[in-house]
Amino acid sequence: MVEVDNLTRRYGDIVAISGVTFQAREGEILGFLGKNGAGKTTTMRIMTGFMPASSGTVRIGGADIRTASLEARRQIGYLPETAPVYDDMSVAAYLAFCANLRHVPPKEVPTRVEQAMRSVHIDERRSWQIGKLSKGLRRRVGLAQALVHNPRVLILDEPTEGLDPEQIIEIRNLILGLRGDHTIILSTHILSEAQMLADRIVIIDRGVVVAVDTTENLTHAVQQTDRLRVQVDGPARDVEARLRSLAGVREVTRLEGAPPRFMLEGDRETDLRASLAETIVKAGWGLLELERVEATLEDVFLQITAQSRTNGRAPTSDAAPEPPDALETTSNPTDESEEVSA
Amino acid sequence: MRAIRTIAEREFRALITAPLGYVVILFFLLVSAVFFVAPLQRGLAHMRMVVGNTTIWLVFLLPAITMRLLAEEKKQGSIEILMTSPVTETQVVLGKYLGALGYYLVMLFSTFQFVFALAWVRKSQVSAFFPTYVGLILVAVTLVLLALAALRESRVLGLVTAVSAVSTLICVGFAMHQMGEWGPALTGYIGLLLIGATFLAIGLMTSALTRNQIIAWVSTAAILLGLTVLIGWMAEQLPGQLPVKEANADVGATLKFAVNMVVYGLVQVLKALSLQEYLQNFAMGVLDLRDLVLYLSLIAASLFFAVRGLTTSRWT
Repeated sequence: MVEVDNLTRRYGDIVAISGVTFQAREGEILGFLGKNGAGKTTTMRIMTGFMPASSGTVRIGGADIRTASLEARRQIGYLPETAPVYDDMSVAAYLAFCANLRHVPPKEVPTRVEQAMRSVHIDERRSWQIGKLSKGLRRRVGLAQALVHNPRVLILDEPTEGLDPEQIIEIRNLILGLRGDHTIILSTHILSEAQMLADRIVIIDRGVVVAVDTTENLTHAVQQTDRLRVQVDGPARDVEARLRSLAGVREVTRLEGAPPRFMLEGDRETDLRASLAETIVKAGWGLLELERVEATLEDVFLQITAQSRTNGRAPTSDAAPEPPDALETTSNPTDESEEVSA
Repeated sequence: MRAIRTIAEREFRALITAPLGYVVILFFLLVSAVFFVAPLQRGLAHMRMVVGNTTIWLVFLLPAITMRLLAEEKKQGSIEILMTSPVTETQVVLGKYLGALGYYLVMLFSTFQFVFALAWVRKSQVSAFFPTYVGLILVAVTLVLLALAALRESRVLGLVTAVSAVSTLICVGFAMHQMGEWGPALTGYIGLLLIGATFLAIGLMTSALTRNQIIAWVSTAAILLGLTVLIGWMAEQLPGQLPVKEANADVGATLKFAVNMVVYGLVQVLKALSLQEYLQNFAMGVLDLRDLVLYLSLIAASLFFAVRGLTTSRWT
């Protein structure tokens, strides 16, 4: 549905993105994950035809965004990062304006406007002036304008940025509700958001795509060992020595806490849990906690981006003007346990 | 065509409902009233006084309208939503231009009250007086209806406004006819329309080249001031007569002749570009094809550069 091939964009000597290549399949949600300044917005602006690429091609439903621009743009609904809508217009008038611009047949405009307002639950504010709406409602209007012409492809640039937790949940649910009917490409720097919404994830770092796959495959690829967290009510040294002696254990790390807690790393092929429990019980200690620790998307992100930097795949250091701590890792208001902690 | 109309309608409505739009029209009416009343006190009751003197105020007022057209869109980022819709840069520029032109027509419309007032002043010469009163009321009613239609986004009110506006125009025709000023008043308004349309096109061009509205306003006003007042003033200061070469001239005299010829050529170019000069023609009832060509060329060139400016601003 969307084919991005070898996209490069330079600003003078600075390379913003380089060789960006990926595809989005019909009906899927593709998460575009990267730190602030990684090149997400630049890529999206090129994909929507707002700015030209220095080289490379984008095809939307087979139409090239440069050579068949109008045909390609007709299939796109785009929500820019700041949802820049006209403050002086009412919600309904603004959506009708967008529908008219995007070749919705005149007779269908009122119906399409109504449907778009309902799909983002803003129909009760139809006659409100947009400038008087809250940030969350404005974002919803932004989403409604992207939907009003029923496009095949939705491109959403950080759709939950700057919203409060309640609004974030609303927008995420809205996006999940659109899955299947539209091909959705959404950018985010929030790992949990990408994990929750996207079928597949594209990781971009300093203007270069470093990974494209499902969350499961990415975490599986990154996780080289089986990790267990265990808390035992017993003498720390003896427990540690006993854990090390277990067959299949590669590494034991003492964690903070009392009674003592440990992180075990073992072979992926061996399930250590049964033998570990048996050993501790036989020794007469109490097994307080035993949990398998899966790799998080944050682990994936950090490992993949670190690898790419070691391999020297990133184009120039200038391409990432944002500070390295710009990656947000704890912003999932729906479920605290899904947060990825640093 | 539909895209142009959609953008033009949005722009027109935004201008009509914005506080800035009201302020500009009110200020324009105020200064027009001064230029209307002042000659009356000297016993001069002609439309040409209003037409001739309002241009200088348009130099400062119209850039305030055009400065936001594209610069604001770029600053606020709404240009992203506009330009990722299936519309071309030309359609955006033409839509914006026609929207602003519509607003300017309302500005001109609001001066029709002077036509009616003038007909009233000269009532001794007026046989059928009825259209003057009706016209005066119609101008006010139309403007109020227009504001309501724009604020309430009502098509029905818009239609009523259009009917009211056409009725006003018919009354204006009567009033002009009764005054015996058909020609000069009509060409005066055509002149004002053309010069305003040119100012708007130049304003739109500078608005396309920057994202800062203040820069757009100042640079447009500077260009317009140059085209209207400064060029005219410079042309007056320089000798305007064709130099004559002396017989058996020496090197010095020949050189002087050459310099004078260059100056003469320059003055002719400046005179040709001085918009104020053309407006005097219109105010006096002279409709010259050359004037029309100049205005239309300036409009076309400005809009062309506005399109190019909008395109390149997305490349950088």
